[in-house]
Amino acid sequence: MKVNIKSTFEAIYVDESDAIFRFCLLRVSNREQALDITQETFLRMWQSLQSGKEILNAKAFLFTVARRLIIDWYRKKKSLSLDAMLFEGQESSYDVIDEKTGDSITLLKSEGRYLVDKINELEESYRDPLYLRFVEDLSPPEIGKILGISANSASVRINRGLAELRKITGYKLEEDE
Amino acid sequence: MNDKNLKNGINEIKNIKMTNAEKEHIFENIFNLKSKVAQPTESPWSIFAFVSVTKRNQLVYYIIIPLVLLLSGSGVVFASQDSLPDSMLYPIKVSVVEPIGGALKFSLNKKAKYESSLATKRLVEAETLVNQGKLDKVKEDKINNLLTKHTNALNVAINEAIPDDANDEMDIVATDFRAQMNAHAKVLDVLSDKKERKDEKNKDIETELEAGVELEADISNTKISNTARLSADTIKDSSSNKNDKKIKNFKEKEDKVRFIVEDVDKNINSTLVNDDTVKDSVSEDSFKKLDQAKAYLYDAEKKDEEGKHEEAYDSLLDSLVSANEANILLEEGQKIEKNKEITDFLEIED
Repeated sequence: MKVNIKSTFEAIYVDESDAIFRFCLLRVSNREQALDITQETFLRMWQSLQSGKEILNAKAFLFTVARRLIIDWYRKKKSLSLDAMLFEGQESSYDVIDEKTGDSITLLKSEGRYLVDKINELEESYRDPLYLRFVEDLSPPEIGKILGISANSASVRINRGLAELRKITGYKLEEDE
Repeated sequence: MNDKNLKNGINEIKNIKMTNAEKEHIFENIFNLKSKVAQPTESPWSIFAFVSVTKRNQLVYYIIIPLVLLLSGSGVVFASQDSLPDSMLYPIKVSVVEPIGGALKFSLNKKAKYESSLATKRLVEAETLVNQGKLDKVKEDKINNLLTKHTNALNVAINEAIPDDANDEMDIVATDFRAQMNAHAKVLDVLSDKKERKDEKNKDIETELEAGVELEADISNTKISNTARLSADTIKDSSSNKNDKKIKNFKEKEDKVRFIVEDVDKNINSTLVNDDTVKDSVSEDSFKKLDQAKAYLYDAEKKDEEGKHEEAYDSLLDSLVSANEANILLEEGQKIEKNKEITDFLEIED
């Protein structure tokens, strides 16, 4: 039984760990912190599996837990000065050291950085639905589960968020040109 | 600029990943950390688990009343235990059986616990009547008056209790009462609201959603739920007035409350995300209450550091109340979902 749980967990970890890490990193803008939250998220999943709970939708579970942990982190961080928080955000948290050469690799180029900045300018109620839909390819029902809203509400937020994003980025539909 | 830029940006974001070393490190850490399964947690102040206070009362209740029944030789008293305000046995329950139960409580703490449990029982009776579609004005007033009576009796017990460190048990009773009142008030409002909306025939929700209008459902408070909330506030004020006592072992209590909050957090996260059927506002409220518990805990820590010890203790109790409320809302939310008589739900938008 324990072998089955472990192999189930391992499969989920292989499939979803990057997505969870990415979600955390883009929200907290600090690689170490994102890794901590990712670890805590998967630890909670592991503990749930160990306690015999059946996880019906692993992706929804993981994103929900990660989101809650990020909110907790923001709450603890609110006592930091604004300067400290800005400094943290300006570090190249999207860069990583190549394990073989030791060189810094920039994972996020200009278009990606621009898009991340613009998504973060959106209203909070649009940010997560938009990100989860277009970056992580989650469906509106799955997004609804994660955010605790109906699938219809999730769809409405995605559509409105996309319209808003297009307004502030200047991105147009190809047929509009 | 066109959608190609949007797609390029998205693809770049998707390239953000952990390194292999980071992935392996996290994976190993997860299995090396000691796993914990959520256990029932002990009360921070006494040997009594605070969530089982009511259950303990019911245990005594079910021992004493059959004893009275045996002595009196009457089966009616026994049969009245689960009666509702629409039953003929209800007046016997509230005017005879329950006062006898109260008279057999010889300490202020036990009286307080008993009155608290009766107050919760009144709210559960109201919820049952709403589910059955039987809560009319007469029954509402009856339950409301009883609720006020139990709150007053609890208040008297709290005010008569001597404030000392040995009487932390009264704090447990007060926090449990507050959590039960607030949580069940919310449940009652939601149930009453759903019942009303089910009866409305001229609202086409699907049409409005298709038009892109986000619905905001206003849940109005019922009379009983208003009384419940007021009762919670009354008991909070009474307890607060007793906090001129020396507050010993604050750090120890703070640690225990933190542990309880973390436990509730794990319980809520693992329960709600696993249950596909749970989508209603009661369960969603449990998240909000949990957030509130954490905020109060943080506040307690700060105030203690600033030397505002009484305010810190108040915030600590508020944290405990919110955590307890979150747990109750979680349980009640799941019960609502499983109730097959109510099938139409509306989401509350943030």
